[in-house]
Amino acid sequence: MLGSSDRIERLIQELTKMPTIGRRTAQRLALYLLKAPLEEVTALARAMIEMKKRVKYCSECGGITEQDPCVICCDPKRDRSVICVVEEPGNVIGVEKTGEFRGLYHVLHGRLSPLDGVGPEDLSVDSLLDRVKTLGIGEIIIATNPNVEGEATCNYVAGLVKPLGVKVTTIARGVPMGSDLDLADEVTLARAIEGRGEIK
Amino acid sequence: MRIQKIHLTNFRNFDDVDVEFGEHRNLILGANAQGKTNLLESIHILGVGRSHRDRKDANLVRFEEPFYRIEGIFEHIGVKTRIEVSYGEERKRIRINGKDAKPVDLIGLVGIVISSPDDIDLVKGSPGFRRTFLDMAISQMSKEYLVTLQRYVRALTQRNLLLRAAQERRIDASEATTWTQSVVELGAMVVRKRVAYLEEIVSQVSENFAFISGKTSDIKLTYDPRGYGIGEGTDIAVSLANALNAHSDLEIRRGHTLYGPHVDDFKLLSDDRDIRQFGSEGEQRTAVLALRCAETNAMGERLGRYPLVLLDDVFAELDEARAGALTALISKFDQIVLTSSRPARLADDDMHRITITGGRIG
Ligand SMILES: [Zn+2]
Repeated sequence: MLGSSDRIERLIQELTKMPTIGRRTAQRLALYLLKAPLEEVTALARAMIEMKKRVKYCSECGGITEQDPCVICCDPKRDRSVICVVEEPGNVIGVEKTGEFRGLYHVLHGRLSPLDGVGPEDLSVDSLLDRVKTLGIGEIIIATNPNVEGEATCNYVAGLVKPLGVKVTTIARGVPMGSDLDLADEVTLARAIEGRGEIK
Repeated sequence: MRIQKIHLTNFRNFDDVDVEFGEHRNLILGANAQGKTNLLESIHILGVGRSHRDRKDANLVRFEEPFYRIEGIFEHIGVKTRIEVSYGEERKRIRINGKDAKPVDLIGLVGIVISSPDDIDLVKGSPGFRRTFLDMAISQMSKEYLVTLQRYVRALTQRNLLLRAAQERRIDASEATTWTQSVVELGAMVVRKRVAYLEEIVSQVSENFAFISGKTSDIKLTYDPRGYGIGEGTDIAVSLANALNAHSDLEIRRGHTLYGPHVDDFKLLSDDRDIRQFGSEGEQRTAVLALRCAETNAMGERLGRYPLVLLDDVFAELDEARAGALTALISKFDQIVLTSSRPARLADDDMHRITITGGRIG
């Protein structure tokens, strides 16, 4: 325990709930905040609360947005016959940066991984199927991460979408093995989107 | 790469020792249970990141010490490489030239072939020994194989979790099949690489077998897939998928994946007789050594230089003629570290000698 302050201990326990933050890091962060000027700590707290109040998931694609639907879903210049399916909202930014893709997105909010207790019911696939039907989508590009879980997720999504008569392509195999979509550089990703292969 | 020096701290029965090696043939001498095999094991760990005989690093730590540490200096074409492997507080650490590294980063660096009296299990033992032989040999030549194998094991683990959940009726049986495609695609890649490897080494194995035994016979190495076919023109992924789908009920009853490279085997045939069943003890020992020498050659070709060869007491079980033939066969390799409890038989003046007594050198 750090000294005798329950308040510090409470903060440490809150911080430890965050991903990648262990107890030692949480202690360092807490001590840093204790030392920092009050304005800085207030600014941090305010930024967190405002983000939480204002930013949400787009009700159509599941991406991060402050307006609903998001700018991409509202943009009349986007190709509304193609959907790029990704695992996490962060992946949308990666694919957008390539400048190669002009269609819509769909965020699954996860990947199949029984080891982590994630099954089909935890992914936003029902809304994907709804969008495919109502928007009259002609092609789905599955851009899940090129690792074991990403590929299993890709196979799963492809199996659900194909019976709807949609062309399904994947970029997973164009990206270096074992890497994450987030880590793949823009050139590789752009080339992967251009050279995507159809899943028969 | 050649090993020049090794420093062991709290490893097995060593508390703190330095050992220097000669460029070519090294002979580690000592009575039984003094630490000869432990020294070879430590070199093996530096080369591939793990022990050849014990999966648990905790077992390698000297009694009542908190950690072990192995540091080796290797050399190739004048360039020195420092490799460190340590284990403590349930954490294993690999460092190459002072930088943190993963086991896969060791691939293609040193290259190690090890043979010990336990190798007889390669012929006599359960299929797991032969799968380990293939996986270690191919992984050291191909990062791609190691990565594919790791991915296969990962997909298999995921699929098995679902099969167990289906067995306990926690999920619908159909959900388990979500992972079948990943498992069969990765599994087929593993099988194809293994088959290609056996084809690559078979003529060497055959030559080595004839050389050591002094008689020619027709040696075959055949991959033995369990429960599915891989014959000419077969799409292995499809064939494996068919086998799994046909036995899906049984898989759920058992709660794990029944077929695939994780249960396969390979056979060693001499004049179409399975050496495992019909070979004499001498033939079996010869077959093992022929395999190990072929492994050394194949790795040498891939790496552009011979791997470091570690031979743990392999001469003890051989008759005079076979021992002589093996000595001639290994003389073309680059660096060799041998152990023996009987110096007279092997020693010659060109050998660099290292004597171990009770975990101490000299
Ligand atoms: Zn949207």
